[in-house]
Amino acid sequence: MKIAVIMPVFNEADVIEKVIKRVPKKLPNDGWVKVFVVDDGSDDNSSQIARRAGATVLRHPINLGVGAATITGIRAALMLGADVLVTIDSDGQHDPLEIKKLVSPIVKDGYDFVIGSRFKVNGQKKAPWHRLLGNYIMNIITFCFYGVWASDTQSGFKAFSRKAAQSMQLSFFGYEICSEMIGEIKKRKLRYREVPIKIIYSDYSLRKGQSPLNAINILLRMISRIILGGHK
Amino acid sequence: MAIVLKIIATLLGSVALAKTVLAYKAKEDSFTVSLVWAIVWVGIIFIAWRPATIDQIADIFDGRSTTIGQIAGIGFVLLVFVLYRMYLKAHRQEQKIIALTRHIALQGLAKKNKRQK
Repeated sequence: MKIAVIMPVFNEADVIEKVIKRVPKKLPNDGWVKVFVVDDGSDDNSSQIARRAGATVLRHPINLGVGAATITGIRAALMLGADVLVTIDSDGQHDPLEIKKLVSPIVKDGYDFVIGSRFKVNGQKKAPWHRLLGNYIMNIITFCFYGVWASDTQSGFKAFSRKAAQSMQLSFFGYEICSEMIGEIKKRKLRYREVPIKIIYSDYSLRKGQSPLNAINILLRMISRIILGGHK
Repeated sequence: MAIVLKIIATLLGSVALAKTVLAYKAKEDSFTVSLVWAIVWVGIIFIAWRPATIDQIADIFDGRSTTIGQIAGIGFVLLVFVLYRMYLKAHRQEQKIIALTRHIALQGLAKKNKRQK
C-alpha cells in the first residue's frame, strides 16, 4: 500500500520540518509513505527545509493558491503510483500521527473518501467562536451548492483512494477546493465518512489560517463558476 | 420594489467594499487605489438610497437631468459588457498560468520517475 501525504506549503519555514517529521514513516502495509510538499511560491526557505526533512518537494514558481497546490500534489502522487492520498495542513494545525485514523477506513472498509472533522466531539471546545461560525457558514454554503452535508467541509485533513483521486475533476485554485471536493463526492458517487481529529490551535496556526471574511471570496468564486462557467 | 432594489444595491456595494478592504489588507492594492474604490462603492450605496442626487448634480451643471439619466443607463450597460469580457480574458489567462506553473513543478518529478523506470 503506497500512501502519499500531500502538504501544500506557503511560507511555513518555522514549522514545516516538525510537521514532516511527525508523519509516520510506515503504516501497517508493505509499501511506502511519502510526503509530497508543494511549495506554492514561498518567499522563505520552506522548500529547502522540507527537502532536508525528507519530503519530495515540488515548487510552484509563483503563488497560485492552496487549491492549485493540492491538485499539483495529487498529480504527483498519482504519477508515483500512490494507492491512498492524504492532504494535511502544513501549519501544524493537524497531528500527522492521526493519518492512520483517516487511512484505515479506506484500506479496511473500502471507503473512497474520509474527512477529518475538527468539530466532532473533542475539537468543538478548543476552536475560537469566530472559526466555528465561519466553518458552519461554509458547511451551509457547501450544502446549498453541492447537496452534501459534512460537519467540517473546510478541513484540510482528508484522505481518499486512488480511484477517487483519478475520478475527481478539481479546478478551484483557492480554499474553495475544499467545498469542491465535497461536491465531487456526490458527483462521482464516492463512499465517504467523517472521523474526529484533534485541532492544534497555536498563535502561529491561528495567524496563518483563513480569515472568516474569506468566506465572501469563496462564495463569490463559487457563484462566478456557476454563472460564468469554469474550465476543467 | 424600490426598497428591494435599494437593499440589493446595498448588499452588493457592501460585499464589494469588504473585498476592497480584504485586497488592501492582503497588500494586493495600494492605499490610494483601495480608497478610490471604497469611495465608489460607498457612493453607489448612497445613490441607491438617494437617487435624486444624480439629478441634483446634473442641475449644478446645466439642468438637463433626463439626458444625464439616459447616458448613465447606456454607460452602465456598456460597463457590464466590458467587465464580462475582461472577466473571461482574465479567467483564461489564469487557467494558462496555472497549467504552466503546474507543468514546471511536475517536470522534475516526471523526469526522475522515467529514469527510475
